[in-house]
Amino acid sequence: MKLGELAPHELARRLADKGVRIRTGPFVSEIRSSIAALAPPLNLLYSDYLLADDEGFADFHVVLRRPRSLRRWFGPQVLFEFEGNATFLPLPLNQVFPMLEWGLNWCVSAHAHQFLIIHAAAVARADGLVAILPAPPGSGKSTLCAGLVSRGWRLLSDELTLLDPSTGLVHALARPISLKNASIDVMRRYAPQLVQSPAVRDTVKGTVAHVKVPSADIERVDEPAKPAWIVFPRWQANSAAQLTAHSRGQAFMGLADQSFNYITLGQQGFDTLARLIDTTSCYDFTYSQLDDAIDTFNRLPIPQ
Amino acid sequence: MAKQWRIAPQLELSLRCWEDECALYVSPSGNTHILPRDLGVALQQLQRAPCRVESLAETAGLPLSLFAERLSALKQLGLIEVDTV
Repeated sequence: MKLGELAPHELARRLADKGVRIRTGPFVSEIRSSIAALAPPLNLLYSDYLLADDEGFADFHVVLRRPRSLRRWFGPQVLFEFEGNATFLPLPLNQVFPMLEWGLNWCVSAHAHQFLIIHAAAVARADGLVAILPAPPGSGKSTLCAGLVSRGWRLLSDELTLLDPSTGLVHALARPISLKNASIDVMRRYAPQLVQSPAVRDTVKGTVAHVKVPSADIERVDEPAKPAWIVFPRWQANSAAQLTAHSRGQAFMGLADQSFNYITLGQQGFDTLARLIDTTSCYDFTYSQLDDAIDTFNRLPIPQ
Repeated sequence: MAKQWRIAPQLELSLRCWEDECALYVSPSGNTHILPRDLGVALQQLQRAPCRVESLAETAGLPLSLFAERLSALKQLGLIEVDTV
């Protein structure tokens, strides 16, 4: 059963009661909340995801609730609890959905050590080969990722690239793409067919909105894919799309720096990352126009 | 007897080299380093057996004085030591 098959009132009731268990790639997340504002964006963005069995195993049990304090009445807030513990400082109540997304990212990055987890987007071309886009905030990673997805690339992940140490393949999460600030309107104009959540203003990351993952990508979420390119993107006003070779050694260190658990995995982390570098081509990429960027990505040569 | 160098005996090194750089993982410290390829190749040579600096420099194709200077970086990192056996 998919989440979208629940009537809105039934979704709200289940969230407040025993919770809903959503499958996102290799993980099942049990989400509970009696905050009414959570159900609409969840219904909008997660309607195509499968619900897991209520009695089965869930990797993460999370609750979003209002703190038991005077703030309940004055400047209401929301708390994210993981396994019964508040993991972050509370946020304003209107940020309940971004907090869920950020919290779920944390659940994966802090616990899923069966993967080497890199802070990077991962998208697959029609031939099935994956481009990994590691980049700091503000580099245009998510905008580029959303642009590629809007033009037929398959989304594996916008934020967390999951590398399987035993196979070297990238596993998909296919959770909503997080857009920030100017990127929100850029993508509304560039890809009006993509479903976006209402923008939430004044978060720690500025204004944020989330893009719904195409249903075809959610259906293929259990298909791992082969990485072929590591591309470090950078949006720069008025620049032509330019792809230049990036030293493999520096790419290795860049990815290690962007990994959440490279150190935790020790030798296995090194071996996994080294294998990734062995089998991919590494580039720096500067762009200003999405059409040019997508054209460049469509023509990325297959590594020998 | 001429001085030989060896990998510090308590260490296990993993190396992967690409073009002109090598990534080095050091166990048990868990540290990762990026090295110029010639130093990576020198470490690979030392992994096989202790060596004199002259032999390492010859493999790297560098003048002895220059290579000895670069090798001192590995000593400072505690990766190699004089072979006292």
